[in-house]
Amino acid sequence: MTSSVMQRRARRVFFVCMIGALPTSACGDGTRAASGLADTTGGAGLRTSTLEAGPPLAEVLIPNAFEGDARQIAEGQRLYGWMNCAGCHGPKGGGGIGPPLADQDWIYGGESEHIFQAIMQGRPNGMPSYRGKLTEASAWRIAAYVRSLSEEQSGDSAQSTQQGPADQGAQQGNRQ
Amino acid sequence: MMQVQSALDPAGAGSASIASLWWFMFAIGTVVFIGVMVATAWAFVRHRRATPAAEPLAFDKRVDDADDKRASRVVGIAAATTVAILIVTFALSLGTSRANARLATEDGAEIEIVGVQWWWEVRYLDSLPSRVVRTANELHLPAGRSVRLKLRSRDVIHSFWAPNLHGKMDMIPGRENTIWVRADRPGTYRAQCAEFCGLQHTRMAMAVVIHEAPEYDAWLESLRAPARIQSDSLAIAGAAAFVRLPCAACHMIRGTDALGQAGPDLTHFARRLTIAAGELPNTPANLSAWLANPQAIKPGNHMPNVSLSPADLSALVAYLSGLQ
Repeated sequence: MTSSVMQRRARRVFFVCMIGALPTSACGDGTRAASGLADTTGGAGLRTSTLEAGPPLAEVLIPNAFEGDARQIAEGQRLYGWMNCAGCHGPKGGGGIGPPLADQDWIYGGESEHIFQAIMQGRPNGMPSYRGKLTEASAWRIAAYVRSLSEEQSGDSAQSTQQGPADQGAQQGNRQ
Repeated sequence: MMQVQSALDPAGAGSASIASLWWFMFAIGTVVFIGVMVATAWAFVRHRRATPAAEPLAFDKRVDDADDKRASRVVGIAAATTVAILIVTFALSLGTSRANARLATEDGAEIEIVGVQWWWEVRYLDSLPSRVVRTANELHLPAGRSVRLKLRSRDVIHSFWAPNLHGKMDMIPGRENTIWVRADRPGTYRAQCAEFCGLQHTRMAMAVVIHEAPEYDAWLESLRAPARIQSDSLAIAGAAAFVRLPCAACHMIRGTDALGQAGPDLTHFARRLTIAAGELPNTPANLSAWLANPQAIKPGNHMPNVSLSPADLSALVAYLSGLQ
């Protein structure tokens, strides 16, 4: 019998004694219980169950069917204006009373579904819920438009980072 | 209900002068066409009659002086007549434009029409802002009074065209175009967008209702009132549903909590002749079909399919049909 199996059995006996026979304090097999005690005090800590928590679940996101569809994004842009999103987030998502939407910083996540949830459920400190005021399809269209805003921005920054090293190289070349 | 739109059935000063110019040009065109056809036919006949007797090749034959003179006289008269016709027609069309430009007068009320994909917002302007009324998809005019129409657009280029009243005028985003109209004959006519503006361009129409002047004043005054409060239980449920559901986010019903600006104002919806910008006659059955699935009737329009429960649908239809 390997030592790990023995440990496990000893522990099991110990817990049965603790729970089942606490008032009498008379365990059936004193020596095994004592060895169990000695084992657990020497280990990492008390384990109350052989069940343990699994790794964190990967987030399952609902894909936005309208993303990347120019016509639906244009429709989202209209709704962005009509629902007065610009009143807080600024025209083109530049920000104002509310946080900007055209950058890469997201307080509650930047996936389409997070934006959809923000629209439908609202967020603390000011973002109202539009559930009941917008159909779900309309909210998804707005989410697609909001996503397109930051994509525009990241597209630009990608271009500038591509240009960056080239410019530096050119400057170094000039210096040399 | 709505008469066929026709520039040849003038109901106003502008279209009347345009129609008379059109008839004059049509008459001249007819005369010229008949003249050309007769001359062509005559040339064929003469050729056939002359061919057997004359030499097959007439190139060498010397044309005598008399023939030459007669030919040049005919050509001269024809050229002079053509020029005269052109000048007269040009002068008449200038006169028509001038007459239409002079429609502007002192008593002219102002109405603003805003083209939106794919409907019309109509605002009856007043020097007092509280008396300005906003409505949609119907233009009411008093007979015998000049009215200044200010034409604007909210999205793309549209064109206002009520052929029974006047010619076309474009509605350009960021700009205000103006035409003056004077309706003379009461009746209900049809206006249509005349500049391609997207998917539902052909279904962007509007009723033009011309009233006798006193009747118009009373109509406009009654339009300023807020929405009628209804006592029917189904209509009360409809009023609550209108605010609870997404309807109120886009539509305004004055006197209620529905304050949306994106879509047509529905304060006096039941008075309208049509729904969806001239698309369907305004009956409860059509309204029900429209609310159940607006995308089936005008695909691509900006009113979303709100999945209404049957109870909400019938309540909304009852409520909207009662908004006199």
